[in-house]
Amino acid sequence: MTLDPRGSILDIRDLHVSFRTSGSPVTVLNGVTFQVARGEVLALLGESGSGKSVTAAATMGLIEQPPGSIDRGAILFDGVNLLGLSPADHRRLCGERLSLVFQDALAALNPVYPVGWQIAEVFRIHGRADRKTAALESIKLMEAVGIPAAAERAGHYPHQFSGGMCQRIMIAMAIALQPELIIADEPTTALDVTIQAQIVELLKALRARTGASLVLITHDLGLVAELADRVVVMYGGRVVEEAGVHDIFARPLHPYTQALLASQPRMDRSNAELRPIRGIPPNPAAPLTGCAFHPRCPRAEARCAQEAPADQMIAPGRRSACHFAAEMLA
Amino acid sequence: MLSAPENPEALVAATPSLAQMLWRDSLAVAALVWLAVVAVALVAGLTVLRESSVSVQLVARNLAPFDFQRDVLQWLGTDSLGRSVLARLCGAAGPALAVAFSAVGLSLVLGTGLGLLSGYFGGLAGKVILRTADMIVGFPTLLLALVVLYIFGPSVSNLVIVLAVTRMPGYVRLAHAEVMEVRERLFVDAARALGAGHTRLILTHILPIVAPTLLTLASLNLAMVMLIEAGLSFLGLGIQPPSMSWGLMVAQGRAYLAQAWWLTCFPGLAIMLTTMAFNLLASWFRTATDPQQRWRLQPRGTKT
Amino acid sequence: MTPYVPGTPLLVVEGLVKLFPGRRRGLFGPRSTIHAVDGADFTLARGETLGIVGESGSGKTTLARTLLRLQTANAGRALLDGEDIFTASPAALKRLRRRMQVVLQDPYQAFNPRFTVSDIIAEAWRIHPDVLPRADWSRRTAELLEQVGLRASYGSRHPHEFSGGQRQRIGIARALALGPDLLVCDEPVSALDVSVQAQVVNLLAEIQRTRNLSMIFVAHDLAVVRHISHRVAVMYLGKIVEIGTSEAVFERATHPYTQALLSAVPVADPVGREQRRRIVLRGDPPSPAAPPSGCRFRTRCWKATERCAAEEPALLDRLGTGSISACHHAGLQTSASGGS
Repeated sequence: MTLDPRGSILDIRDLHVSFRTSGSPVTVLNGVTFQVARGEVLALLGESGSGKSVTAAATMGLIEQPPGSIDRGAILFDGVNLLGLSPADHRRLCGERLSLVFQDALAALNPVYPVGWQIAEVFRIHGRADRKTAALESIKLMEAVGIPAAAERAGHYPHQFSGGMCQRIMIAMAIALQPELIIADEPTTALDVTIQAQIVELLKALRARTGASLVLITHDLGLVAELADRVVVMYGGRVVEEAGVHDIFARPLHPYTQALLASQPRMDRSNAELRPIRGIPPNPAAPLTGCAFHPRCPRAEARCAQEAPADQMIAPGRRSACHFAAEMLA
Repeated sequence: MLSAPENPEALVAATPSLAQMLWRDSLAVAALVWLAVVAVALVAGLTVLRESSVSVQLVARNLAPFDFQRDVLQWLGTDSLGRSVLARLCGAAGPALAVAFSAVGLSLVLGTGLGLLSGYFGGLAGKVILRTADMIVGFPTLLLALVVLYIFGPSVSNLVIVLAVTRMPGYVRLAHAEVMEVRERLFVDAARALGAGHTRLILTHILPIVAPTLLTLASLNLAMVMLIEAGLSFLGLGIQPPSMSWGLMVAQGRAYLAQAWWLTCFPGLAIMLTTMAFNLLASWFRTATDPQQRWRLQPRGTKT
Repeated sequence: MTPYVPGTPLLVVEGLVKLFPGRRRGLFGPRSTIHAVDGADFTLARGETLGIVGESGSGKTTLARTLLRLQTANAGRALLDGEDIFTASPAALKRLRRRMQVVLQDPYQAFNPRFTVSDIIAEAWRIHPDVLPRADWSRRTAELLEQVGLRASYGSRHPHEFSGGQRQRIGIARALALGPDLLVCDEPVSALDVSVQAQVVNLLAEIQRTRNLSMIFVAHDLAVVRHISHRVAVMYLGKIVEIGTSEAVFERATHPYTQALLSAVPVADPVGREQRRRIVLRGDPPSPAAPPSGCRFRTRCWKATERCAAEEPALLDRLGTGSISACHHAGLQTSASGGS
């Protein structure tokens, strides 16, 4: 894969992360590689054990070492390796040029401080504004994310807001310093459907306005279809497929992606038989030899249990880690 | 039947046995070893050494310890009446532990029962139980014990009762809080949906869940009760001579602190080691019975 | 899905009301009341699945729990084959409980962690000893485990040794132990991984088919509900706003809230996403402690008029489309309608 150093804002190369346990260390990321171009929305699609949240945590410097350990690889942000930075330098970047929207908004907000204060904290930490200006800016941000009566509500506490509102507050904090990259970890999972729709529209509007890149971590295919430009599918700590969003839905080239698409009930395909994926998600503490998906794969052969498939480019802009990827393309 | 059978190896985790978990915590093992020694001493004190613990040998008064040429019984020294300190330590183990276990046992059973009822049913009775517990907590334990024993006389049963009553509120409040939390859990609803009645819910479902926390409190209380009893005995209101208790031995040896340090030191050491052992075991027990913390005690090499 | 056979309904619910005490204003002020369910009416035939959808605060979970008498209703009747669940004596209730069972949402909390799987399933027979003689317990436990796709040998294990999907299967086996006629499922797949959800949904559908069970399926995932339900009820703030056949509700919704709900569901197909017009409702749902007068949806509804504030609409068949809805301005969604 040729990289345009100007083109990608985030470049993750061969990332290996493991965690120490009372037994042997558990590998949760097993050589993850992908890039995020400027201004694009990349969906990181996967389920439990896929490693998608750990990837985000590693990028934001949230992995405590020990018990975690980044064994190998690089995370390049605008050409600078985040893993080589001192913690202080890394912290300076976080919040300012890259930010994270957490999954459980209510838990991610401090319950004893008013929300306006918490949003303003972003400004204060990075020394961008004095207290008064920061307070004004945070009210403006609350309005931008659609919180009614923002001036009054800035003095309210997180528990006085609904889940959707808390999520908006988190988004306000994430965009405060106009970062170039926003990572959103399951931003709509805990929300009602109609509130999800509001948040999706908000994200779309923000993207159009600021031109920031968005990494969307999710397991929701609908969300991916609505928002993403490109999709990276993760399974068992590895990238198993990467393609543009239209290609992924029209013609997936990895058995896991295919099975995932076939197993979800769809509003537009009523009464069709659901084809579930047999077996259970992988256990990172008990890794298998060969391909991580082979126990659940309808195409698996003897080779799959012995030899891990290489991550190959099989078409421009398309990768797949499957022995049979080329056959599926043909 | 489903066409896709489950992978039989696809179980997530296996529970390690108690012994395996114990082995992983070296401090808990040390504690258990010490308590085993105490148990042996207790038995010896009741049988073999009974005579020696009371036999007065004025010839062998105030002998210093650690002189290994002498008789085994005199290795920890003798007191002002020539009685073997070692034998007396063993003899005193019985009363000290008996009082501690009975007081804790009584407060555990009564306190848990009351707390279960108040937490499960609530209502006026529940409130009354809680407020009474709060009132008892308001009194300093030692003071209350002193007053009661002074008024009613320092018999062993009075001692046990007053110790139990002062410890009870802790169990009542803990049981109450735990029951209120467990009562809301989904599996209790599931059992109700199956048709389970109150008795079954409390005894079969809720009690086993709250028991480990209460037992942990009990093991911590063992240590505390032992110390209180030692203090009371030291003050003369606990176990009375001719019975023995470690606290009493400390009191009796106090007069000779300058000349015969071993008379207070060894019983004091016994109190300290035994209470520490109970605390260490309590800490291990808490970790072992909590499914989320259990991984700390899993044998090396097993998959989490 | 096999079509259900209409006949005498198994379950008739009339005017179910469940209120909760809310916060007190100040120290001596009046206590507010949370209208969790404010008058629900519906019937359920044998062998039929009724899906109940709604968002948080809609009251769907409260409805399910009240039906099972895990909570006491404040008003209304629920007749299971003519016998009122809500006024049954404790002995009668115990008998009724054999006929209606529950599958709960959180597979990680639904079992007593100290019980083995066999204990969990056999508890049903412990409580109702006349259903199955003790000698048959282990045989029947093995049968049930295999029917839900687990091995009989799993009986001696503890629930925490299983994955979420497996635990949910254990929950289903437990629910089937007494041979109920009605199965109430409260969000049975929302806590599961996406790739496992389909397994459990298929299992439930198969069980319903083979045993001719009636099912009430409460969920917030519309696609799952559509897949498994014959009829669907849509709830908003304690009221059923639309109810009808699955097809009628999903294809020809007449209530504005249903239309908004359906349009809010992201479609798993990127083609045409730029052109897709979506109804985005304003603001948050009102608090169940202070529901709006008249129609409860009017504060977020683009069709609201004065009549909506004054008069609460009844659940009626307004357009002959196959579903009944509670809206003065019920109408099929045209391309021009929809607020922003």
